[in-house]
Amino acid sequence: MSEISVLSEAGRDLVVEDDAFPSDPEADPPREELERHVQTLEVASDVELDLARLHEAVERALGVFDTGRQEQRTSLDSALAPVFHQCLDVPTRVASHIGFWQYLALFEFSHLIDARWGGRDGIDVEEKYLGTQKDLYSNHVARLWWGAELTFDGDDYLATHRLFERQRLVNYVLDSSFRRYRPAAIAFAETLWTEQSSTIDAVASRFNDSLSTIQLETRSRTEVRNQLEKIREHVG
Amino acid sequence: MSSTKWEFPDQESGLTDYHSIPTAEALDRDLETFVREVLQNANDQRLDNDDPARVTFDLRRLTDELPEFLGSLEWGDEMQSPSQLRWHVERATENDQARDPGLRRFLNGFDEEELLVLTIHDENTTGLVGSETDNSEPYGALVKDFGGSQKPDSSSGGSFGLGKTVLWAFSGVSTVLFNSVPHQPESDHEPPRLVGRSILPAHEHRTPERTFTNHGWFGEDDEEEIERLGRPPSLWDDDGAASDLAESLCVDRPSDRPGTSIGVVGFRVPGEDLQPDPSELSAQFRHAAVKHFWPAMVRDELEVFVRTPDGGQTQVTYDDAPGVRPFVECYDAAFADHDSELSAPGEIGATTVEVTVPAENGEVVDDPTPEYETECDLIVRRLSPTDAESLDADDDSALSRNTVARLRGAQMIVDYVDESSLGDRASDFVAVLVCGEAQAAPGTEPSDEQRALEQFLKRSEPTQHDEWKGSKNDYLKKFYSGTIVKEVAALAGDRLEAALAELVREEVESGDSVPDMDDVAPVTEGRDTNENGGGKSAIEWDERPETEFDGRRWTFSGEGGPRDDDHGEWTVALELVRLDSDESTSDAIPVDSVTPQTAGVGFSTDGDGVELDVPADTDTVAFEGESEPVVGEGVSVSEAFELGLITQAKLRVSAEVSTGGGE
Repeated sequence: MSEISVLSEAGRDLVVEDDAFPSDPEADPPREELERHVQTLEVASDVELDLARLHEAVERALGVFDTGRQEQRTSLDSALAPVFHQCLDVPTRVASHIGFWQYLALFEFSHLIDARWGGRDGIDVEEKYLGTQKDLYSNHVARLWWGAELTFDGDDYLATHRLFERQRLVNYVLDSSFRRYRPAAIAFAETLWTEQSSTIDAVASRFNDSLSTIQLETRSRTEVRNQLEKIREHVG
Repeated sequence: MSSTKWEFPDQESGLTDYHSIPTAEALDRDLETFVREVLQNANDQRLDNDDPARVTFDLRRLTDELPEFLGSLEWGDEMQSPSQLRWHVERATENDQARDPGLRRFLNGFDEEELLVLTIHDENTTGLVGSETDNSEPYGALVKDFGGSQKPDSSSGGSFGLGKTVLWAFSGVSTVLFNSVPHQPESDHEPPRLVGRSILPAHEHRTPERTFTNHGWFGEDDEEEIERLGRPPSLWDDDGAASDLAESLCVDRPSDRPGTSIGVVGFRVPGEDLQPDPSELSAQFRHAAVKHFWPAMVRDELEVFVRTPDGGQTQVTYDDAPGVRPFVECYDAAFADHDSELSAPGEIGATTVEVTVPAENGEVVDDPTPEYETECDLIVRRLSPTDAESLDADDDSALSRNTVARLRGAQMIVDYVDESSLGDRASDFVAVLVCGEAQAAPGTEPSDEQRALEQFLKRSEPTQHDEWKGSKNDYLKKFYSGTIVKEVAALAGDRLEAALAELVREEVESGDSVPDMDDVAPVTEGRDTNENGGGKSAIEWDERPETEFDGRRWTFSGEGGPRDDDHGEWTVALELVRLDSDESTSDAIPVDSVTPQTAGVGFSTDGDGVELDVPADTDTVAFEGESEPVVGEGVSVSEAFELGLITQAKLRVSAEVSTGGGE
């Protein structure tokens, strides 16, 4: 038995209704009020959160990468995703609970999210803290963890690094149509990490269409990769 | 005549180690775990001869015999003393730092009129060999030290030695008795030997600054030995004392063959009823035994019997878990020659799954093994109707079609891996993945590769031995250098899947010719009619709109008209749309042509869809049409599936009907 902290829906509403946070870059999350909406859940499996190590890694990364530049923000994600995955040792059942990620985003890693996403036009920063139960990519902490979870190869995080080189790839891989199926996620990152966004979009759309007649989970990573290569050739 | 007593060694107070309860280890404490652990222990201790190990689960509800039982157990009477068990149990329930709620429940519910005792007899096993002080022998390992493991060879079931704590977890009073005939008797003693052990929360001594520890011993009241060992030694049968006592404690040996009778006092399933129903328990013992140990049964290495309070005793058979039958059929044929194709139901095929056993770490292991590239044997059976019936007759969801049972040399099923995701384009199957020393045919010695794989997988098993786990397994990583996680994972993941697919997946692609379109054509759906004000559809169909794929393009047709006879002009808009993986609509498929079959109907297109304009005096319209080609020249149908060109599709139909005779 382990315990995890999660933000309740009322806590989420509180953030949505807050006038200052996160629209005002100077404002912190209203943690004092939020405390009342943090619940402790008992989970049957072992959960290990090495937050000290994670904070250290985040601090170091923020010192190295210049978040004012687009490509460095991407590299920041690529560097941190494996660390989040390693330091947050949780089963996927826990990782599917959006309240868990909301808690971490608001109480532990708000400075990272602020540095990574804050103060940029056209970015819904609130979404990066809250995300939704339906997708794995809006909440930034969930995005890093799940991106690594789905592309971790057992031995290395090469596919994770490639995935995070293209933010558009992350969105597709974490979309529900990929069904959290690791071989497909890895094949996707491996095949498309050097492609333009337009090619990624076109291939992903065709691939998604093909899944109406193909059972994704019957396919090995090699099969998915071959299929993606064929589609890339066809749309290119 | 020798006498017996309980003795809990004591310590100076404040040693917090002694407050923990070893039985609180992270074991899944369901009955299945219990049966697995117990049988695994017996199976591992089987003597090296041609006879099977024999295990009997003997469940007794003591009523009339209870006073004698409690007397023999030194449970305790009105004049309690620390040489009696009850004295310790009552004090142990007062320990707030290491609370054991099960113990309190037992005490509250125990009226000394009825008690359930489960005795597990194993025969043709090594028995509790070893002197009082030799921790390297089974006596020391099973009765004495928790956390150690002393089993005969590399294929044994346990790596951690924690399995045995499961016995105490199933005793309401956390007390277990052992009566054993060792296969090598101690030279100066007559078997059997009897000893009891209780594990309770630490509790208060009569002297305030001292504390009784967790571990209580029941054995011979021999002052000299107690002084030497710090606890009573086992009671031997030198003067017939052990045999007599064993009989009244329900742990008397069923035969003179070597082995151990283990008595779980106050048997209960943790967290469940204090008085479980014996016939229900009996069925669960049987099912769990067959589910996990049928390989040992197939090889005549293990026999299991269950005896119930009504005196009945029967051998456990495959009928107790009918779902294992198809797996047994597979495994029975493991050492025969097989085809690599499964063309008919009931046929058995074989293939292999490659695995690389990493090199052992020379800093941890003496004489480390090198890296081996080897393979496991995968035996697959295409299900026959009889197999399907067997699986259906079993309520256990682990025993299902499209499942792989995995085992190694311990001849116990480690787990059942669900591979039903292959089922969509495959014939139903079951399979057995035979690994390590289990790959050696009966009567032959395992190869070096098989031994190394056996050891690798054994070390990958968690305490419960119910999976092979490479990731986050520090114990395993300590022993090897090289690729670990991927190799362990492959035996349930990609490689297993690929090997299975090779045998069971049906060919659906054959170049340009598609012999049986019915099998591969996308499911089509043709209805999506606008509702009219939340009531019924505005259009009533004589022939519902249908779509069909002809190998190159979609065709569609339908016939219908306004439900309300009193209508004005009306229009029907038709659009072909793709469905994506979530069956939500994706992009439109352009309509190439449409032919209204009814006179006076006009039509217009907007690039993708088409709209039929029908005059007020026409009550129904029939139409046919087709899409632009979705599969280009030179693209085969199989490729078109891959490219996402052929998808599920549906015809979206919407209608607008003006009412009141054209107003």
